[in-house]
Order: sequence, then C-alpha cells, then structure tokens
Amino acid sequence: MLVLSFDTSSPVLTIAVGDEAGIISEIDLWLPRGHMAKLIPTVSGVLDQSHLNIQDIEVVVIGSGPGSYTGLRIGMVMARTFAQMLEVPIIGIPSLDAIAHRNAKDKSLICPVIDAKRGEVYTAFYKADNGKVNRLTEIRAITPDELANVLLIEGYGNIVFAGDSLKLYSDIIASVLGDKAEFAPEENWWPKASDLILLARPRILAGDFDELYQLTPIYVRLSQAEEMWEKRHRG
Amino acid sequence: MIENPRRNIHILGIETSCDETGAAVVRDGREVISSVVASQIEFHQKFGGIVPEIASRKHLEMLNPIIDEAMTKANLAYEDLDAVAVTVGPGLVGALLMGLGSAKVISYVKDLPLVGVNHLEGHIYANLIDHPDLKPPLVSLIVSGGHTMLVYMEDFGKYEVLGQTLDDAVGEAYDKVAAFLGLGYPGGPVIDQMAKEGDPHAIQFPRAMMKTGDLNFSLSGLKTAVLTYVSHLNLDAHELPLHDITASFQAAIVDVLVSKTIQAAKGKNVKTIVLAGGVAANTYLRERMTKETKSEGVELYYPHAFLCTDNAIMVAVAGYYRYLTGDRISLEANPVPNLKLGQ
Repeated sequence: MLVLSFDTSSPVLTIAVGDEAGIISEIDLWLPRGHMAKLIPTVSGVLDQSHLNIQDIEVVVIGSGPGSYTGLRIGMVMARTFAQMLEVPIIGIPSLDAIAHRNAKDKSLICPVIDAKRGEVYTAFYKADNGKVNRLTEIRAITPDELANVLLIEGYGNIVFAGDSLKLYSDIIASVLGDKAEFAPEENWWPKASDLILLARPRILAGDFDELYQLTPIYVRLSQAEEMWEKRHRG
Repeated sequence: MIENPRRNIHILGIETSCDETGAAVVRDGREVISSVVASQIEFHQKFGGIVPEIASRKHLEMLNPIIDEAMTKANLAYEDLDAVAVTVGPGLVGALLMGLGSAKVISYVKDLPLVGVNHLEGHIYANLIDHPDLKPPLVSLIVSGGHTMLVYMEDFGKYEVLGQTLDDAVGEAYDKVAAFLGLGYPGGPVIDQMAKEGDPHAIQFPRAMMKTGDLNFSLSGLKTAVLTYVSHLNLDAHELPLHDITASFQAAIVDVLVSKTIQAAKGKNVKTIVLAGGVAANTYLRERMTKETKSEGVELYYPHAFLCTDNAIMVAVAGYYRYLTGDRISLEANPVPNLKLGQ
C-alpha cells in the first residue's frame, strides 16, 4: 500500500512516501513556523520525485506528537483532510516514537526529550530490540531534574537522549547521570516521516487503523486555562 | 460590476475564525444548499470568554465531520463544486489555521480553486441570502464580539472603513457588563431579553463620542459607568434593578450606533444601510434602526439571526463574488489574524 506520511510537531517539516518495500522518497526542511505555507508544495514535491499522483495514496500516516500545539494541529488537520478527501485510512504514530526509532541502540534505554516549555520536557522511555523500539512508559511532561533522578534511581545503564531539550538541559542531565548519559547528535533530534512509515508498517499490515474523526494530537497537557480552572476548583 | 455570470455555481464555504466551526454549500451566492455550524460556547462558558487554545482544539475535532455533513446534506459530490472558500482573517490565528489547512487539502486533492474570504465582508454578504436584490453602494454597521465598525461598500469587493471602535467591541461590552451583573456568558442575548422589561431612560449612562463629529466609537467608558453606578447603589445582587440597568446600558450603546450609522450614510450620500455581525441580531438595535432609517428615508437591511452570528454561508457568499472576479489564494497562503477590509 502506498503511504503518505508527514510530521509537523517540530521545526522540521518532514514528508515521505513509501510502501511495503520501503521508503520511496522523503523531503525534510528546516522551517520553523513555515509548515502551513510549505506543506502542500512539499507533498507535491515528494510525489513528483516519486512519479506518483496524490490519488495513488492508500494510507495517511501522521506524527501525532507531542510538540508545538500549533504545529501539531496544522499537520493533523491536513492529514485528516487528506484521509477524508482520498477516502483512505489514517494512522497516528507518536512523533516521540519516531525520535526513539531514529536513535535506537540495543542494550540502551532511549529517552527522547522534547521541549515542553514551562521548564519541562515531553518524554517516554524506550528499549530497542534488534533495531525495533518498544515504548515502556506513558508519554508525559516532567522537569529534566525529575527525569534524570528517576533514571538514576531505576538504575538504568547506558541512556541515549535525543531531542531539542538537550540544548537547554543536557547539563542538568549530565550532572545527575554522569557518563551513563549519551547525547545524540543534533541531526537525530527530530522526527522523520520515513521513520513514521516504518513504525506504522505492522499496523498497516494488520489493518489496524485509527478512527478518522477520533484521531487527535497527543497534547499531554490540558490548555492552561483548563489547568488553572481545575486547580481552583479542586476542593 | 459582474454581469450575468454562469448559473449553478456551487461554493463550499469553511469558517473557523473564532469559536464557531462551520461548513456550508451555497449556489450562485444566494441559495443555501446546506449549512452546518457547531458552536463551542459550552466549552468556553465557564471561562467567561473564548479561550484560544480550546477553540483551536475544538475546531480540529469538529471540522472534518462538519464538512462531511455539509456535503452529505447538500447531496453533492466534490466534483460538483466550483470552488472552496475559506476565512483567512481576521480572527484567532490558531483557529484560522484549521479552516485554511483543511481548505487547502480539499483544493489540492479535488483540484478546486481556493478562494480566501475576509470574515468581515462575510458578515455583510450574509444579507444577500435574505435580500437577494440588495446592491451596493451601501453603508454597513458591523457589530460583533470582536468588531465594531462602519464600512462604506461602493461595489462588491470595494470597501472603505469609515470608523471603528477605539477600545471594546460592542459584543465585548455586553459580555463584560453581563459578567459583572452575574448574567453569564455570552452577554448579548440575555441583556437584550432583560432590557425588554426595563426603562431605557431610567439611568443616564454616557453616550461616548456622540459629538466628536467622526465615525469612531468608544465603549470602555460606558462599561466603567455601569460598574460605578452599580457599586454606588450598594445593593445585594438580587436587589439590583437589572431590567432598568440593562435597558439603559443598551440604549446608551444603540443611541450612538444609530446616530453614527445615519451620519455615515448621509456623508456618503447612500440610501442603503446594512446591519451585520452577531450584535445585528439584537432586537433593540433592529427596532431603533428601523424607526430612525424610516424617518430619514433610508432602506435598512439585516439578516435572520442565524445569519448574523458566525457561519459558513456568509463565507460561501463572499467567496462567490471573489470567485467570479478570478480572485484566488495560493496553496502557500497563511492566515492573516488582523486582516483589514479592502486588503
């Protein structure tokens, strides 16, 4: 089945086309705040260089986050509308899984860390097995300090960190975990659409698709207004 | 002017500029084939106003099923459409992105022209559904939760802003006063209802900028005057003369709106006045405007209440005129949160 995949949760606009045999074509662009303008032209570019037409697409795979709320929603509304207009199924794959997949290393714990603002990171723990990653925890937002200490207490060996939070918090992480912490190079910090296709493959083969109108981004948090309201009304 | 355009032009309109998610199909800019609007009011109510992040999340959830419903109700295939029209501004950027993102994909996949519409012109064009023969030149008073302005429309698509609020929008003033009086959100309908049993002359609230000679408005002083008046009464909430307060508050606003709108029409020498926007559904504003325009020999138009509040019909109608003139936006377009009329 021909798959169109994209992710808009990070400053990288990443768009790929692939099928059961592998990735046919991919374009990654560094485009902070440019996703709305460039998504369609880039989809068109990826299809052109694959000698395909948009009508050939049989599945849509979207990186579902977490990440920038606005960025996520641009990708999600366009992915949903592609699936709706083409009348094809849709699958949401966490963007965090794609970062983990990119940095998979056997015998290590993989820990993507995405800037969640307000002094926190979006993260989850992954184990790699023959290049295949398995998520061990829920995706959540915590402070880098808490994250490093949890990892220290759990006594993990080598831990691979990847994501834009390293720019802000690699010192904190290193100060707690010392040489157990391994930092991925910056080019591996971002989700890639080709990884999303690879991660979606078992679900495509199993026919395990998402319900189009139920698929929403992984925000992790409520809106700030709702958080404050809940705080005020929690007895 | 556009003479005798081809008949049977179907436009799909999409509206997500604020807290209403809408999709509609309109034929020839006049005939509503289908319209679906989902209001988010229940999600914003407990915050006393619109929370942009919640608005964006709800648009994302609701938009695709609403488009589907509008097309199903219209009993048309996408191939039967001539264009997709979408609001590009003004509005909340996160909300606008949802409609525009979706409209771009429809345009790309279904190979349909993409037309960008100004939300404010949409409000004016909503009048064409109920009054198909309405023609410019005209003066329009646009009053809603986010806007208060007087616009001279010389021809379809040709606008000149004659004046606008320097602070609060009319709908905003209603919301703030209603919140202060404990009447809930949104404030417009409840104040309109309550004022019916009150005396509009009971309290002399200020008519701001009535004598400035220009066509601008200011509403923050009136809001403060209501607050000051109520706190000086020193009464328990249940003892407040709510009917008289709301009637007098409303009269102070409407006096200025009516006077400046008629002044604008005279200044431009036009015989047609059009009310537009959510507050155009206000019964007192309609009554007073009807009376005053009659004595001035000016024709007054306003749409049905459901066409006053945000909807996608008005986007499809405005989109129809832009479609006819060949006006398109690119698949690279971004929303313009502070888009001006005539821009």
